[in-house]
Amino acid sequence: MKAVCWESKKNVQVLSVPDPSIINPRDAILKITTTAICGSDLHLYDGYIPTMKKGDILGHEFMGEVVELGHAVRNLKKGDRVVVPFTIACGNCFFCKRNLWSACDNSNPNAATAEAFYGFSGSGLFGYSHMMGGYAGGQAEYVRVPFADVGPLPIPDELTDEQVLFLSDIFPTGYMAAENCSIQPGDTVAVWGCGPVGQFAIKSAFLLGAERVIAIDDVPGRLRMAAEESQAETLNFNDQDIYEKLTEMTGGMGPDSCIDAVGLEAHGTTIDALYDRAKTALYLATDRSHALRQAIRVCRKGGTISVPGVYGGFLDKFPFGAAFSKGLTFKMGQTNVHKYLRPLLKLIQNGKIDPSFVITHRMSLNEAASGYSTFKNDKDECIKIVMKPELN
Amino acid sequence: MNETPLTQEVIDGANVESGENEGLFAKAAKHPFIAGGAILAGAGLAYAAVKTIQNAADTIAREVHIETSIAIDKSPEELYAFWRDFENLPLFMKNLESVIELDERKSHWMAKGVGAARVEWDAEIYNETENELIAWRSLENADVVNAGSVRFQKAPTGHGTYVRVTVNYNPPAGKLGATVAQLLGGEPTQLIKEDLRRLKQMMEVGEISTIDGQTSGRAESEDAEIPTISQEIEK
Ligand SMILES: NC(=O)c1ccc[n+]([C@@H]2O[C@H](COP(=O)([O-])OP(=O)(O)OC[C@H]3O[C@@H](n4cnc5c(N)ncnc54)[C@H](O)[C@@H]3O)[C@@H](O)[C@H]2O)c1
Ligand SMILES: [Zn+2]
Ligand SMILES: [Zn+2]
Repeated sequence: MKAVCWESKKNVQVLSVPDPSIINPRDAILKITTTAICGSDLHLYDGYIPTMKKGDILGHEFMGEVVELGHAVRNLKKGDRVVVPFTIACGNCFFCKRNLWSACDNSNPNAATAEAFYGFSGSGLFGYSHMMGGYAGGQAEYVRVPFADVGPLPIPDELTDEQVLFLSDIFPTGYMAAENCSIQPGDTVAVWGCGPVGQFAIKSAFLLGAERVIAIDDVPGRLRMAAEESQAETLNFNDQDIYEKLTEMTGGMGPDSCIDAVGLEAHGTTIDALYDRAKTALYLATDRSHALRQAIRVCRKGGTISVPGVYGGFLDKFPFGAAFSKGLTFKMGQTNVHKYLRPLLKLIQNGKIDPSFVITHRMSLNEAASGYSTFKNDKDECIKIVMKPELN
Repeated sequence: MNETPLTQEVIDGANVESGENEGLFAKAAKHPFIAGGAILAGAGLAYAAVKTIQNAADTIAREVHIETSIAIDKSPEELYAFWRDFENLPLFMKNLESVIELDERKSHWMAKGVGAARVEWDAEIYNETENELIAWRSLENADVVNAGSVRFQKAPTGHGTYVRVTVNYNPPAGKLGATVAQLLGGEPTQLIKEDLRRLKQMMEVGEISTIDGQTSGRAESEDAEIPTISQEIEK
């Protein structure tokens, strides 16, 4: 089959690799119909995430048709069209039972490596480094899905791939980010980053009852999408002092909640202080405005900082004193995708949201290499890329 | 295998420290491997006592003592039953080729070979409380003098069972020693933790998560190990 492989930093290639096969009884094999490139993939592309190996198959946002099933999977049948959560979860452990699917204890075969970094390991992830399990991803023609009796969500025929694909990650991610804000009537939510995750956080904040959403980025095309698709108020951080502007806009109080949908590449955080690249990244990052620090400074007293943006290591100059003195609440983490699949599918079916609004580019799987560089370098035009193997 | 010279010293020390469990110690004293915590822990002795003993006798500096625990979302009864069937152990203990039960208490253990070398021993259960504790030790002529215990302790509500394991062994010298070292790698504790993680997955999930057999864009020859943390740091 054809698969998008990580070859080295800033170098992905579509290679011919052997087809996947069933390894464990609860596995399934999918024939991929649609897959996407995520902002998280850019962290891999840019070399921020350790334990990648040359030849690793990328991709964690994908859907497709079941073509093979392990003998323990009884709730799916061949031919089912399913969307798959990017977090791999067993459904049986302490964490899965408490809806903390991204903390699953049993799905990372390399848990020891993650433990060495973080003290504990989260769930395995598709196509997201060996520390996160080393699972082959779904930017490919076929993929192996472990715990297929738990993750994949069957999709009714009347919905298109593009309407439901983002249930795999960015819609639940934006939704959980907003849910973590415990939005009350009248709340103002500020969202840093108008990438796909930010776009869904904005929409979800409105769905959950926010009265105002203020979106922050410096990419005009993305700010425009936030304004046009979701009626967010928008701020370009290059044009103004965000703290001054946000306090002014909120009568001196600050937003009730702040969502950081930017992640580690804006702030110069990195995997580990031991980690050689840390310093470089930190210096690079001092050139950019630091979204999380800004959010902590401007958030109203007793407010919530919700962080869907991915962080890997240590934060420099983290204003913990400000957070403490204001009594802020912090919520964060990889998304518990499984928890949101069915409720969010309902929202799509009821016409409350059509997630395909973020798609700006459609291409074949063969064009992945140019897709990655377009997504990385042309943020104004390119907000979300979906790829279809059938266009190859 | 000869009796290690430390045996009597340790026993004496233990008795001085604890002043109890004499019956069990008398029994344990016949065993060449007595320095580590398995037997002592099995006997309900404080770990501190064990430490003192180890420090007191520098002849046992090479003794390896490992203690670790894992929470498993099953009842002590289920876990005990699974473990008590020693033939199940190779299902999750990576270095174990097979265990054959010889009778109710005795079993024959065979570790995976390295090259032509084989490591095997007979073991017996010397202490056991149904649904709570199993303690075993190697018998005479073992290639590796070893002992271990596992305790199944009901955890706070909703947290399953704490499975507490101790393993002790006396790394042999010479060629055999090299084989054993190779089997256990640099980090025997890590190895046992990984074994327990596999046990947890078997019990909770019914399978062991793996990517072995998965395809990639690498030729097999390129399929090197996962880069270690120190390699990553070097990069
Ligand atoms: N928590 C999860 O489970 C999860 C899931 C998916 C994605 N993510 C993470 O969410 C983040 C966003 O993902 P995405 O796909 O939208 O990525 P993206 O790269 O497309 O979007 C990031 C946006 O942030 C903007 N930005 C950069 N610096 C900024 C700053 N200082 N202030 C305001 N905006 C700034 C960029 O211009 C860009 O538009 C990434 O870190 C990604 O890894 C997390
Ligand atoms: Zn993603
Ligand atoms: Zn789980």
